[in-house]
Amino acid sequence: MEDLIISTLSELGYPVRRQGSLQPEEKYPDHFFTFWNDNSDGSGFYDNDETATEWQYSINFYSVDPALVSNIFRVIRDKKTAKSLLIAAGFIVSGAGYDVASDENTHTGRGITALYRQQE
Amino acid sequence: MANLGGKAGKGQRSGKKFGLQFHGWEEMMANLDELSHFGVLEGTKKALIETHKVVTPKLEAEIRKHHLTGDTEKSLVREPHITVEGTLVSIDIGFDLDKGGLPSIWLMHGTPRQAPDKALYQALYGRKTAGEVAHVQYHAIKDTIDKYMSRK
Repeated sequence: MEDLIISTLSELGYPVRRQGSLQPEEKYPDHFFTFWNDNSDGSGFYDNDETATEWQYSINFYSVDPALVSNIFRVIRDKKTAKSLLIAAGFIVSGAGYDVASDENTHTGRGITALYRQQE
Repeated sequence: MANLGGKAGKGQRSGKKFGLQFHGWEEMMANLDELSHFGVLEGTKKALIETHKVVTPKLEAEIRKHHLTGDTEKSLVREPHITVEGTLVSIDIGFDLDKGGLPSIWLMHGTPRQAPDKALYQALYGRKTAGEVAHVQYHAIKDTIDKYMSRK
Protein backbone atom coordinates (compact mmCIF):
# COMPACT_ATOMS: atom_id res chain seq x y z
CA MET A 1 0.00 0.00 0.00
CA GLU A 2 2.77 2.41 0.84
CA ASP A 3 4.30 1.83 -2.56
CA LEU A 4 1.02 2.94 -4.13
CA ILE A 5 0.88 6.09 -2.01
CA ILE A 6 4.49 6.97 -2.76
CA SER A 7 4.20 6.33 -6.49
CA THR A 8 0.91 8.26 -6.70
CA LEU A 9 2.06 11.33 -4.81
CA SER A 10 5.49 11.32 -6.47
CA GLU A 11 3.77 12.25 -9.73
CA LEU A 12 3.68 15.80 -8.43
CA GLY A 13 7.45 15.82 -8.13
CA TYR A 14 7.73 16.32 -4.37
CA PRO A 15 9.44 13.98 -1.90
CA VAL A 16 7.21 11.57 0.02
CA ARG A 17 8.23 10.56 3.55
CA ARG A 18 6.71 8.75 6.50
CA GLN A 19 5.35 11.16 9.14
CA GLY A 20 7.93 11.59 11.91
CA SER A 21 10.85 10.24 9.87
CA LEU A 22 12.72 13.51 9.38
CA GLN A 23 15.71 13.70 11.69
CA PRO A 24 15.95 16.65 14.13
CA GLU A 25 18.82 18.21 12.21
CA GLU A 26 17.41 17.38 8.77
CA LYS A 27 16.32 20.39 6.77
CA TYR A 28 12.73 20.46 5.52
CA PRO A 29 12.47 20.23 1.71
CA ASP A 30 10.63 23.25 0.32
CA HIS A 31 7.58 21.10 -0.57
CA PHE A 32 6.98 17.54 0.52
CA PHE A 33 4.41 14.94 1.52
CA THR A 34 4.27 12.69 4.55
CA PHE A 35 1.93 9.80 5.27
CA TRP A 36 0.90 7.62 8.21
CA ASN A 37 -1.14 4.43 8.29
CA ASP A 38 -3.87 5.06 10.86
CA ASN A 39 -5.65 1.76 10.52
CA SER A 40 -6.22 -1.35 8.47
CA ASP A 41 -9.51 -3.13 9.18
CA GLY A 42 -10.90 -6.30 7.73
CA SER A 43 -13.62 -5.17 5.35
CA GLY A 44 -15.02 -8.27 3.64
CA PHE A 45 -15.64 -11.73 5.00
CA TYR A 46 -16.59 -15.01 3.42
CA ASP A 47 -16.50 -18.52 4.79
CA ASN A 48 -14.79 -17.31 7.98
CA ASP A 49 -12.05 -15.68 5.93
CA GLU A 50 -11.14 -12.04 5.42
CA THR A 51 -11.54 -11.12 1.77
CA ALA A 52 -10.77 -7.40 1.82
CA THR A 53 -8.85 -4.84 3.87
CA GLU A 54 -9.80 -1.22 4.37
CA TRP A 55 -6.68 0.91 4.73
CA GLN A 56 -6.84 4.34 6.32
CA TYR A 57 -4.00 6.79 5.80
CA SER A 58 -3.32 10.36 6.92
CA ILE A 59 -1.63 12.20 4.04
CA ASN A 60 0.06 15.52 4.84
CA PHE A 61 1.64 18.19 2.68
CA TYR A 62 4.07 20.86 3.87
CA SER A 63 5.34 23.79 1.84
CA VAL A 64 6.91 27.25 1.95
CA ASP A 65 4.08 28.29 -0.41
CA PRO A 66 0.78 28.73 1.51
CA ALA A 67 -1.23 28.86 -1.73
CA LEU A 68 0.13 25.47 -2.74
CA VAL A 69 -0.79 24.06 0.66
CA SER A 70 -4.35 25.38 0.56
CA ASN A 71 -5.06 23.84 -2.88
CA ILE A 72 -3.20 20.53 -2.65
CA PHE A 73 -6.20 18.56 -1.34
CA ARG A 74 -8.82 20.11 -3.55
CA VAL A 75 -10.04 18.97 -6.94
CA ILE A 76 -9.33 21.71 -9.47
CA ARG A 77 -10.44 21.31 -13.08
CA ASP A 78 -7.62 20.58 -15.54
CA LYS A 79 -5.04 20.56 -12.76
CA LYS A 80 -3.28 17.67 -11.07
CA THR A 81 -3.62 17.86 -7.31
CA ALA A 82 -2.84 15.30 -4.65
CA LYS A 83 -6.56 14.69 -4.14
CA SER A 84 -7.28 14.10 -7.83
CA LEU A 85 -4.29 11.77 -8.17
CA LEU A 86 -5.26 9.76 -5.09
CA ILE A 87 -8.84 9.40 -6.32
CA ALA A 88 -7.61 8.30 -9.76
CA ALA A 89 -5.44 5.68 -8.04
CA GLY A 90 -8.51 4.24 -6.28
CA PHE A 91 -8.45 6.02 -2.93
CA ILE A 92 -11.57 7.42 -1.29
CA VAL A 93 -10.77 11.01 -0.34
CA SER A 94 -13.46 13.27 0.98
CA GLY A 95 -13.42 16.99 1.78
CA ALA A 96 -10.49 19.36 1.55
CA GLY A 97 -8.49 18.33 4.62
CA TYR A 98 -7.42 20.06 7.81
CA ASP A 99 -4.49 22.11 9.11
CA VAL A 100 -1.51 20.26 10.54
CA ALA A 101 1.38 21.61 12.59
CA SER A 102 4.82 22.21 11.16
CA ASP A 103 8.09 21.98 13.10
CA GLU A 104 9.43 24.87 11.02
CA ASN A 105 7.86 28.32 10.89
CA THR A 106 8.88 28.60 7.24
CA HIS A 107 6.31 25.94 6.28
CA THR A 108 2.56 25.50 6.64
CA GLY A 109 0.87 22.12 6.39
CA ARG A 110 -2.40 20.48 5.53
CA GLY A 111 -3.58 16.90 5.97
CA ILE A 112 -6.35 14.68 4.68
CA THR A 113 -7.65 11.15 5.30
CA ALA A 114 -7.45 8.69 2.42
CA LEU A 115 -9.15 5.28 2.44
CA TYR A 116 -8.41 2.33 0.18
CA ARG A 117 -10.34 -0.93 -0.06
CA GLN A 118 -7.96 -3.67 -1.08
CA GLN A 119 -9.53 -6.90 -2.26
CA GLU A 120 -7.48 -9.98 -1.32
CA MET B 1 -60.75 7.43 20.24
CA ALA B 2 -59.04 5.74 17.32
CA ASN B 3 -61.17 4.90 14.32
CA LEU B 4 -59.93 1.58 13.08
CA GLY B 5 -63.05 0.77 11.05
CA GLY B 6 -61.67 1.90 7.69
CA LYS B 7 -63.62 2.87 4.63
CA ALA B 8 -65.25 0.32 2.36
CA GLY B 9 -65.84 2.91 -0.38
CA LYS B 10 -68.31 5.67 -0.86
CA GLY B 11 -71.68 5.38 0.82
CA GLN B 12 -72.46 3.16 3.73
CA ARG B 13 -69.71 1.43 5.62
CA SER B 14 -69.58 -1.92 7.30
CA GLY B 15 -67.55 -1.78 10.44
CA LYS B 16 -67.38 -0.46 13.90
CA LYS B 17 -65.57 2.34 15.65
CA PHE B 18 -63.08 1.03 18.14
CA GLY B 19 -61.57 2.93 21.00
CA LEU B 20 -58.42 2.09 22.90
CA GLN B 21 -59.80 -0.54 25.18
CA PHE B 22 -57.01 -2.52 26.86
CA HIS B 23 -56.49 -2.37 30.59
CA GLY B 24 -54.27 0.52 31.70
CA TRP B 25 -54.30 2.34 28.35
CA GLU B 26 -54.84 5.71 29.96
CA GLU B 27 -51.80 5.35 32.18
CA MET B 28 -49.72 4.08 29.27
CA MET B 29 -50.71 6.99 27.04
CA ALA B 30 -49.91 9.41 29.87
CA ASN B 31 -46.47 7.79 30.19
CA LEU B 32 -45.92 8.04 26.44
CA ASP B 33 -46.89 11.69 26.58
CA GLU B 34 -44.42 12.34 29.40
CA LEU B 35 -41.73 10.40 27.55
CA SER B 36 -42.14 12.54 24.46
CA HIS B 37 -42.29 15.78 26.46
CA PHE B 38 -39.55 15.16 29.01
CA GLY B 39 -37.95 11.80 28.36
CA VAL B 40 -36.40 12.65 25.00
CA LEU B 41 -34.33 15.46 26.50
CA GLU B 42 -33.57 13.49 29.63
CA GLY B 43 -32.39 10.46 27.67
CA THR B 44 -30.30 12.54 25.31
CA LYS B 45 -28.56 14.35 28.17
CA LYS B 46 -27.88 11.07 29.90
CA ALA B 47 -26.43 9.54 26.71
CA LEU B 48 -24.08 12.49 26.21
CA ILE B 49 -22.89 12.47 29.82
CA GLU B 50 -22.19 8.73 29.59
CA THR B 51 -20.21 9.41 26.40
CA HIS B 52 -18.10 11.94 28.28
CA LYS B 53 -17.46 9.36 31.02
CA VAL B 54 -16.19 6.84 28.45
CA VAL B 55 -13.92 9.12 26.43
CA THR B 56 -12.41 11.46 29.02
CA PRO B 57 -10.43 8.90 31.07
CA LYS B 58 -8.92 7.54 27.85
CA LEU B 59 -7.75 11.01 26.82
CA GLU B 60 -6.46 11.67 30.30
CA ALA B 61 -4.35 8.51 30.29
CA GLU B 62 -2.83 9.28 26.90
CA ILE B 63 -2.13 12.99 27.34
CA ARG B 64 -0.30 12.31 30.60
CA LYS B 65 2.48 10.71 28.55
CA HIS B 66 3.18 14.08 26.94
CA HIS B 67 3.54 16.06 30.14
CA LEU B 68 5.87 19.06 29.85
CA THR B 69 4.22 22.20 31.18
CA GLY B 70 0.94 20.42 31.87
CA ASP B 71 -1.06 23.04 29.95
CA THR B 72 -2.61 20.63 27.45
CA GLU B 73 -3.47 18.18 30.23
CA LYS B 74 -5.17 20.99 32.16
CA SER B 75 -7.23 21.93 29.10
CA LEU B 76 -9.03 18.57 29.14
CA VAL B 77 -12.73 19.12 29.79
CA ARG B 78 -13.16 16.97 32.89
CA GLU B 79 -16.61 18.04 34.05
CA PRO B 80 -19.48 17.18 31.68
CA HIS B 81 -21.49 20.26 30.78
CA ILE B 82 -24.62 20.00 28.64
CA THR B 83 -25.74 22.87 26.42
CA VAL B 84 -29.30 23.00 25.10
CA GLU B 85 -30.10 25.38 22.23
CA GLY B 86 -33.59 24.74 20.92
CA THR B 87 -33.57 21.15 19.68
CA LEU B 88 -29.76 20.88 19.72
CA VAL B 89 -28.24 19.24 22.77
CA SER B 90 -24.44 19.17 22.93
CA ILE B 91 -21.54 18.41 25.23
CA ASP B 92 -17.86 19.34 24.91
CA ILE B 93 -15.53 16.37 25.08
CA GLY B 94 -11.77 16.57 24.71
CA PHE B 95 -9.33 19.45 24.93
CA ASP B 96 -10.41 23.09 25.14
CA LEU B 97 -8.49 24.83 22.36
CA ASP B 98 -8.94 28.21 24.10
CA LYS B 99 -7.27 26.93 27.23
CA GLY B 100 -4.07 25.37 25.91
CA GLY B 101 -5.56 22.40 24.11
CA LEU B 102 -4.19 23.12 20.63
CA PRO B 103 -1.13 20.87 21.01
CA SER B 104 -3.49 17.89 21.25
CA ILE B 105 -4.25 18.29 17.54
CA TRP B 106 -0.56 18.33 16.72
CA LEU B 107 0.06 15.29 18.86
CA MET B 108 -2.71 13.36 17.10
CA HIS B 109 -1.47 14.16 13.60
CA GLY B 110 2.25 14.43 14.30
CA THR B 111 4.79 16.55 12.42
CA PRO B 112 7.46 15.60 9.88
CA ARG B 113 9.86 15.19 12.82
CA GLN B 114 7.45 13.66 15.31
CA ALA B 115 5.40 10.58 14.65
CA PRO B 116 1.68 10.89 15.49
CA ASP B 117 0.46 9.64 18.84
CA LYS B 118 -2.15 7.34 17.41
CA ALA B 119 -3.16 6.07 20.85
CA LEU B 120 -4.37 9.60 21.59
CA TYR B 121 -6.14 9.71 18.21
CA GLN B 122 -7.78 6.30 18.78
CA ALA B 123 -8.91 7.36 22.27
CA LEU B 124 -11.15 9.92 20.60
CA TYR B 125 -11.81 8.60 17.07
CA GLY B 126 -11.00 4.90 17.26
CA ARG B 127 -13.37 2.05 16.51
CA LYS B 128 -13.10 0.63 20.04
CA THR B 129 -14.12 3.97 21.53
CA ALA B 130 -16.97 4.28 19.03
CA GLY B 131 -18.22 0.83 20.05
CA GLU B 132 -18.11 1.65 23.75
CA VAL B 133 -19.87 4.98 23.16
CA ALA B 134 -22.63 3.29 21.12
CA HIS B 135 -23.14 0.81 23.94
CA VAL B 136 -23.54 3.38 26.71
CA GLN B 137 -25.72 5.65 24.58
CA TYR B 138 -28.06 2.78 23.67
CA HIS B 139 -28.49 1.86 27.33
CA ALA B 140 -28.99 5.47 28.40
CA ILE B 141 -31.89 5.89 25.95
CA LYS B 142 -33.33 2.46 26.69
CA ASP B 143 -33.21 3.02 30.45
CA THR B 144 -35.03 6.32 30.00
CA ILE B 145 -37.76 4.68 27.92
CA ASP B 146 -38.11 1.91 30.52
CA LYS B 147 -38.25 4.46 33.32
CA TYR B 148 -41.13 6.41 31.78
CA MET B 149 -43.08 3.49 30.35
CA SER B 150 -43.02 1.41 33.52
CA ARG B 151 -44.62 4.08 35.66
CA LYS B 152 -48.03 3.21 37.11
